[in-house]
Amino acid sequence: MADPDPNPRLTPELEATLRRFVLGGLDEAARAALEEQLVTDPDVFEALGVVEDELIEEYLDGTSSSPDRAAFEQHFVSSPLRLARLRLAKSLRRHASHGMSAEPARLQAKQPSSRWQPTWLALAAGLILSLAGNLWLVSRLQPQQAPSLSAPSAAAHPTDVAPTVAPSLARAAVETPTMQAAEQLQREREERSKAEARVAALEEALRRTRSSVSFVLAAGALRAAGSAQRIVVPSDALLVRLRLELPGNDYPSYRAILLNDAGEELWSGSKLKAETESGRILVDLALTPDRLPRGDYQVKLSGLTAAGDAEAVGSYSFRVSRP
Amino acid sequence: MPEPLRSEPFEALLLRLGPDREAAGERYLQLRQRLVAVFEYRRCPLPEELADETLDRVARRLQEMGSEFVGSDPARYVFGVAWNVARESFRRPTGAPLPDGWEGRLVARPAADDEGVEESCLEHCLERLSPADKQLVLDYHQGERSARIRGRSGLARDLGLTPNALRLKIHRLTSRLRECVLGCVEQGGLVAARAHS
Repeated sequence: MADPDPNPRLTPELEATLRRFVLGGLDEAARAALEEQLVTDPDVFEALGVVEDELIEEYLDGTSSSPDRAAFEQHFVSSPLRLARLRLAKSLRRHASHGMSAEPARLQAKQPSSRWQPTWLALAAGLILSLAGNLWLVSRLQPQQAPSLSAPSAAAHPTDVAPTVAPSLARAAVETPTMQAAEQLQREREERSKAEARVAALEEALRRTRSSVSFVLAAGALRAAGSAQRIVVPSDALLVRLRLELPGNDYPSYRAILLNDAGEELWSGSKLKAETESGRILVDLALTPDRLPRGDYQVKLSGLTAAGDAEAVGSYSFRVSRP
Repeated sequence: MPEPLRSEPFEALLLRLGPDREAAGERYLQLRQRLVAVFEYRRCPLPEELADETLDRVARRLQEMGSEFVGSDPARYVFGVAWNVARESFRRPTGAPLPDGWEGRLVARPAADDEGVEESCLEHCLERLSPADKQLVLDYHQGERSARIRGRSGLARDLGLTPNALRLKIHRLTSRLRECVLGCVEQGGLVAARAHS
């Protein structure tokens, strides 16, 4: 396989700095200098990605130190996109390990290559050979002193000694490392389970805080006529979706302007598209709740022609209250 | 909200990013990705919108400056503008309007739906890698920690790579995979949303 283009920035020194950056441990001057490098030097940015991968891995393995884990959750997972990255890493592991038990599936399914031979198995095999070799040497050098170890005929045929002796020794040699490996595997699984539980808790927390609330507004509801639509925004909502209903979709895009009670423009958005949903034509606006404190509002919607001209489509009045 | 960028300033920025328009477009997207990451680490509200705003401002300024701009790589200039944009974002009232489709990625959906969509997207995106790359990614992530570590040193040896080169290769492959999965999940999410409406 071809060697990937090297990244000259991937040095232990920069990795250590990037690690501190991700975990929020750099002072302001160092952080600003690194941020400049991240924007201007693609190799530094790529090195950041490699370091992030490793921190994700440590987190999922449950091997981060307690302060690092807390810093990782505070600084890295705080972004929904990065949380998605953590989740993907978890899925990838699950996918890669699907259907396997203790060791990689290829160990059982394919011709075992040296790369998948567990170290303890190699050590055990080595130990068996060594014991067999020693016994053979003993039998060669001191045949009269060790007759009881093997059948008389075996002493004359060194290659036959090992099968006679090996099973019990081999079991002993293999079982101890097997038990250690099994215990280690169990520990690693427990650490991983704990880490996955933490990821699930983070996801749940994010879901709770990312809740949105939607309102469909009909055009022409005028406050003066006492028919302003009233919307109640829950205190924990992150998003308020205002869905403006249209009589038809006659424009390639729309522009909306949000006005307060005094007629002051609070927000505007263009390049808005109308979508048909359950037979209704709707233009969606997404606003954060702090844009909409208690009060009366109006959204003016214009259709934008292909030439870029704006034509009034409708106005939507509503009153915001809080629970 | 700034007015949408007209094509002339955008073209001026692309020209500064390279003579080959396609490669310049790729560089534009990479620059945007780097800006988003920096804004995210700064915990700026709406990092993607700020990245767009930064690049829009740079493009307009480059067009105004014309030949006055000195240097072949505007990335350093982009960083200067990004710094201003970040500072301004903290002075603005919080809760700026959200870009199109933003909430589609974040609105709460049942966890089972999320996982189902992601799993099928992952499967789909793994298939888009070459068979050798797919196998490499799966081998790299297989097993519990100790087995994985042993497997990786063997993988590097078998492929004739240093451990660092293997890490880099895997990072590049998983970055591609991630882009693919994120795009797929967004589309899957939209499909699911339409199916439920």
